Amino acid sequence: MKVFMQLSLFNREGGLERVLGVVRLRGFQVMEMAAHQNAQGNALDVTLKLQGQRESDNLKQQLNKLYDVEKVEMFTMAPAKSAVMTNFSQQPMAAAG
Amino acid sequence: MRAADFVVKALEREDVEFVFGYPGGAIMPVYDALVEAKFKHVLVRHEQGAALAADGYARASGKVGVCLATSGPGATNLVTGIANAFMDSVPMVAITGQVPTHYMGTDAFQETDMLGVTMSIVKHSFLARTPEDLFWMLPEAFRVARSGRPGPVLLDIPKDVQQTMIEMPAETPPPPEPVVEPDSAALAAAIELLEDSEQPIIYAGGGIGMANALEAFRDFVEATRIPVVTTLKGIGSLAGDHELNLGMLGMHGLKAANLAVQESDLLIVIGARLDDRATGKLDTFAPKAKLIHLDIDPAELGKLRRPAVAVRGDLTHSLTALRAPIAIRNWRSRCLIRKAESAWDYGNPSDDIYAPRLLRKLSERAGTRTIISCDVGQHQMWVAQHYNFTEPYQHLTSGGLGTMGYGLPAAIGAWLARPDHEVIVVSGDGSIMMNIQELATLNRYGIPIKILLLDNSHLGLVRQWQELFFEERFSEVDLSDNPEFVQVAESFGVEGMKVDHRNQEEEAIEALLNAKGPFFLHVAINPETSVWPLVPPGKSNADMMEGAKS
Repeated sequence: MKVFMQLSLFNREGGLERVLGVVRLRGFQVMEMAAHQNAQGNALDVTLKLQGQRESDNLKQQLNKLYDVEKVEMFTMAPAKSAVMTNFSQQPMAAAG
Repeated sequence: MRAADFVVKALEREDVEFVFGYPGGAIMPVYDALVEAKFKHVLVRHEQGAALAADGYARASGKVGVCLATSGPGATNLVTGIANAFMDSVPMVAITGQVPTHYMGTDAFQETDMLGVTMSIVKHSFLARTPEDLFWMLPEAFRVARSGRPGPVLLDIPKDVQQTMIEMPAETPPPPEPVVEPDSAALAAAIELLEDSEQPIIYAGGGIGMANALEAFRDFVEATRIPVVTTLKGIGSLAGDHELNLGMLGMHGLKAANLAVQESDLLIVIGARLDDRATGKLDTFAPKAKLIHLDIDPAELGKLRRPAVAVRGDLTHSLTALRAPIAIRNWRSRCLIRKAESAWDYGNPSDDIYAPRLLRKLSERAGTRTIISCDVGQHQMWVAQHYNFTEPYQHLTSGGLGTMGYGLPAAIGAWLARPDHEVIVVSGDGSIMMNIQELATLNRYGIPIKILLLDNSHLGLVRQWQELFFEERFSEVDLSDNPEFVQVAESFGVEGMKVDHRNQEEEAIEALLNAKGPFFLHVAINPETSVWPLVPPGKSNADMMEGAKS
């Protein structure tokens, strides 16, 4: 099963590592990833394309618990590749939670 | 003042009573500041002991436990204790020294990336790269550790940061912790399920005690009169001798508890995470039951089994809203009759000391102002099965991680939290050797902890599994070369005695309880005594092996 996650992180030390650690621990693989910090440097937007056999709802909840994570959105439909990789403002995917 | 002095002031502001630790190079400025501290530092003899003592202190007091270590090996020695706290949701702040910032990332002497090492076993980890970071990270570490579902937080402080001169910042009161109100629609749906249920069971976990929801939970039980099973950590949430308490469920759960759950049509899971040791093979667990799952952590709701109704929120609020009588007289009678029929027979005819009987006698004799701090193995399960607890804080046990060596350091923390209590370590001959150095801590501080060592000269639970599931091919479980434990204890200044015959059971318990200071009771038991019941790995909880009846 493939799933797309869009996360807003407070840009603190280790935040992205924690996200990737939870993804691995909870049974998902990263297929694609993009991340960029905002102009102020205090936030990091991350988009992940993931593959895994477990319930993606559970992964979303686990990610949401991370101290650095401000927001998690999950999508089940594949967006255009360019949107996943670079353009976080476009959200052509159907929201799943 | 130095930032190190601020660290001490910040701990004082958090009303810290005890810090458990061990000094070393990269934490020396903080240790220098500790000389002026209003709280007490407890010097352990291994950093793992510091983290586990902080864990025991936290569980017995309900406050945040604090441990302190230097960088590198000092910090990595904390790791097992931090993981233990994480698995059992124990509030803890672990403070570690780090090499100076300009050395970080150069593989410097005693440099370990503690932020990276601990990432998956903490609620959060902070690295203070500047003194100003400490101003908000320290109070935030305590807030995070105790908020919601509690857990450990790491704060790593480079030595040069500790040494920097600062102006003392003004104290800012922490924001009030929001109460998570349960969703009213979920509560209404839960009430409907309760009313429709004919065979409900309450599945009580450790979250009840940690959420300070004991009163609401007990009121809920009395109002509904639903039979209760507990997890290992849920023991004590309802008195062990309460009529409706069917005992612990799971791999070494009691027959009445496991069968009631398997037959139930509704499980009310409260502050529990459906751990595999409790559920057995998940797809055969409680096959006819719908679930109402109540927890503060949304990630636990539906993690392993999808509930019919998930109620996220403060347990006191949720349980109060669900309190109502329901008509289940026949089902309740059936559960209680089975409980009576499957009551344990303590009349083992052997001349050996029979551990379940000894623990039962200790339970009857010790009184309610007693804390039992377990190690991990057969003795841990016998305590869970045969000792009557009346409060969760009286039963300290490493549930999630199963940390051999937990009992003694955790007991030290527990006694410091509740010095008016009798604190008894129940250990095995494998476990006790994992942190036996902490006997020196008892002696150093005059801590009158009692140690009951059940010695079968084996790694008993592993031996039992090899006997049952590996065709009696015993591999590396023989510990018959153990030291003379009483001599070891006496060399640490702890009085002791050894017993091995059933006629000595009462005498041994009296010696243990009447000793004025710390005492080491070495009890030799038969290595072939097993823990029953046992649900084999990968089997349903209905498939209990019962072995010898006594």
